[in-house]
Amino acid sequence: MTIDMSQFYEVFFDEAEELLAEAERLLLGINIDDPDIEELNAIFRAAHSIKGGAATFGFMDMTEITHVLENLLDKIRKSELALTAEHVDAFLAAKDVLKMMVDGHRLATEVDQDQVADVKMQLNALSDKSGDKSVLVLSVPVAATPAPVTTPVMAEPVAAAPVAATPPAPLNEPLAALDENGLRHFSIEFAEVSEKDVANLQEELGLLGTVDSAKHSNGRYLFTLSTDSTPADIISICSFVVDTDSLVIRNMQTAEAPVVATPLVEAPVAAASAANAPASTLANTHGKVEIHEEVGYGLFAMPGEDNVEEGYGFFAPFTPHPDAVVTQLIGDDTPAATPVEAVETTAAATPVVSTEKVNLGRRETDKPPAGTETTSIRVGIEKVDQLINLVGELVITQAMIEQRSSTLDPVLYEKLINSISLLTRNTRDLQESVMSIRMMPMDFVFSRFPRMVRDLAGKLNKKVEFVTVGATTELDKGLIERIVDPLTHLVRNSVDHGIETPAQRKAAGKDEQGKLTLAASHKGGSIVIEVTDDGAGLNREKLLAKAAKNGLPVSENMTDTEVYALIFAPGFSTAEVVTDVSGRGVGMDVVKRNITAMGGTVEIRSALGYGTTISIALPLTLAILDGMSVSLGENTYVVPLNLIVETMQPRMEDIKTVTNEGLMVHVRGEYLPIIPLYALFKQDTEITHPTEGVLVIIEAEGKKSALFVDTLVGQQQVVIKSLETNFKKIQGVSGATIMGDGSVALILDIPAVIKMGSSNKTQGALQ
Amino acid sequence: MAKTILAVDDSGSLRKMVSFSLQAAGYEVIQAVDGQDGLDKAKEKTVDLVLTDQNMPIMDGLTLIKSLRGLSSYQKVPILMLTTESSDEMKAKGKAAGANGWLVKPFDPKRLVEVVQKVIG
Repeated sequence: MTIDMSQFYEVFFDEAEELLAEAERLLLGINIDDPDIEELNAIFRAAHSIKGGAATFGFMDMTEITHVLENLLDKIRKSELALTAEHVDAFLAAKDVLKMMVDGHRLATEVDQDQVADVKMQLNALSDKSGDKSVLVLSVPVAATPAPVTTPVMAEPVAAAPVAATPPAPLNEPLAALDENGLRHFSIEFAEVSEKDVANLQEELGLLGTVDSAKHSNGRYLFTLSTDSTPADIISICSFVVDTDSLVIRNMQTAEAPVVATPLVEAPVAAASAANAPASTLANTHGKVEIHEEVGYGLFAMPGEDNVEEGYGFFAPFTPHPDAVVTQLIGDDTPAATPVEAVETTAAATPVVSTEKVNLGRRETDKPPAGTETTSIRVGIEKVDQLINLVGELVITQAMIEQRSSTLDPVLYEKLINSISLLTRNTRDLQESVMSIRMMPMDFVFSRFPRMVRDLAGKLNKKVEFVTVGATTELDKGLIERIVDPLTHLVRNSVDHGIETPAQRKAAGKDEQGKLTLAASHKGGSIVIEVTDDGAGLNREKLLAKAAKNGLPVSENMTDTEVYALIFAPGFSTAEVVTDVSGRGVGMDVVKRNITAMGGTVEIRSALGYGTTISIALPLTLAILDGMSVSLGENTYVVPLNLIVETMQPRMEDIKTVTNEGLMVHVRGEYLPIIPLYALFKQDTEITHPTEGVLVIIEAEGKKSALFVDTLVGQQQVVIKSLETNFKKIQGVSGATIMGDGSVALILDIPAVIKMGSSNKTQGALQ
Repeated sequence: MAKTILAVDDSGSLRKMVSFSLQAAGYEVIQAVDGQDGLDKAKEKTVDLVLTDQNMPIMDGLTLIKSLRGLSSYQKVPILMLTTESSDEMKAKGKAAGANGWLVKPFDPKRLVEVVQKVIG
């Protein structure tokens, strides 16, 4: 029977990611001075489970890290070692490396070996400090370090040197002593190969010394070799013939090796174990050397044969099933006089066991029972997008039918019209459900920040409390992915520049600990994400001075909003000291650009001394837009509703012509530039004076303008079709949609339109 | 009739692997996610063999083994520990608790089936 282990990889990866996330969450919340034992246990279990899985599925890089992690955690949870901030840092770093490894195995992303080495060193250093040198060496890349051969297994845990830190023992040193003939005796075991290969191998090994061969009932071969050569020599010879994965080489002392094959009796077992104890096992696996004793493998033997199995054992008295192969216990790798015997006689008393802690309380992240495991299915995003697209088409078709039916006689066609209105309702419900598939909770993004804020605050010696609000608010998957970078930047900025040092805060009469809030909420058709800090706030004077120095157009009359918006100018940074974290003056403009590209807007509110809020408004989804359709000549255009402030029909006296500024409209004390759409898009229309048409007051990037169109058609949801994929990018147009009557309408790119308007001023002047 | 094995492990991937391997070898497998779950399921149906992890939330493997041995129906049912901790101390504890044997993680699915076949045929 062969079992393809790779079929379990995905489950393991998911599980490992979940465990890592949980461990990180717990580590971030842990009270270093008085850690909660349940939390420590849960973190320990996470490391332990990942180690078990990684080892089972062959991800040795992860096993190595989790093993050291587990050892340290075990000491800490048993109160043998006090938890320090250093530990938490190292554990978090290890978590990152493990996550990187999971990604590496799963998505074939790059694994930063330097980082891995750093973490190993960090953990090993902590292990050394704790006096724990029993670092598991499951696999040692031969290229990096010569293969260490373990010292004989003793009753005490093996003191194997951490591979990376200590030079390994020379190969020949811990080997069994040479016998009186100057020979060592090895048993060499490997999986089934052809008879010819066996003969070849026997011949080759014969050159090293005396060889005996035997074939086991389980299909594995066993050679015994008496030679003066080292295991490395044997491995190199065997590797020509045998798959080194299956190769197990044991060093045995033939003089004492005979196994006392007395079934179900402990005493001889112990003797046999004692005899076997100094045996070192080498298994060469593609440039890796496995040392089984260190893992604590038990040894199990067939009657009258040497040890051929490892990895399990049965306790006496135990009678194998009558149908089963007749086997008996010869003991594990336990030397004589181990607690096994002691406990054997006092099994009922079991003093050891009574100290075992029972873990109480289920954590929320604990796996649900097996039966309820599959509550979700994985579907390719392209399938979902295709579904959304099809529903979009359906919505258009439905709108067409609805429009056609409006001309029918309601009395004559009552039933048809009723059916159509039912269709309308169903279509809308269907569209909503389908759109919700792409929706993901903001927690997906928010969850990465507690860690980042903690690390940043630590680096900058600041105290920051991090709070998230509205993490369950849902946003389109595409937008979620794209909001990560801008948000990361904003959060980093807030910690670095916004929140002051504890000393500064104290001097300002504030709590030493700053507060950073990340909030998400729905507001109308958009989602609003706000990064709020209770730091120093933006300094208007400083911003103006800096802007003037950078050659940006500024004036004392600018509103606060306009002044704050200056930080979005390219190359603008008010940080006096460029820190390691931020302040290099790149970024805020990129943040702004990214958000604008998502159809969103950014706004800053700040009060000097009290803090700053950066508010991002995003459309709920990129696929559907709430729009106002406007007509211009024979064409229809769609203006995104969230960018419309108001619409108006101006009076003659409100329209002013300003030299070099073109037409302006006076709206409640404000003069706004008029952008005649017909002139911008060079369209023919009868209506060329604002008083004859409609002004749509639009606002983007803190600038308001009045878009001059013929008439308003109506407000509706439109399905966005990309113009770029189907045609090409056109300035001032962000996409297209199909209207209810089947005609195509262009969706205006309002920020671009405003920009175009201000560069086309003279064109807009009245003839 | 196929023999039934109760596999107790908090790690889903391990559980899945163990179940799959044993099912492929013709056994019925009942899965449990921790000691308590294992105990509950063991009470529901007396199985032919119990495989349990040691380190689990809520109830660990040793406690499960002791609890099972406290039930009259589980006096003679073989119990094996699947554990990464193969220290002598752990073996002693396992033995004292009433386990019949142990299998060190990581193990090859083939090895698992081999061991199980040795125990219950």
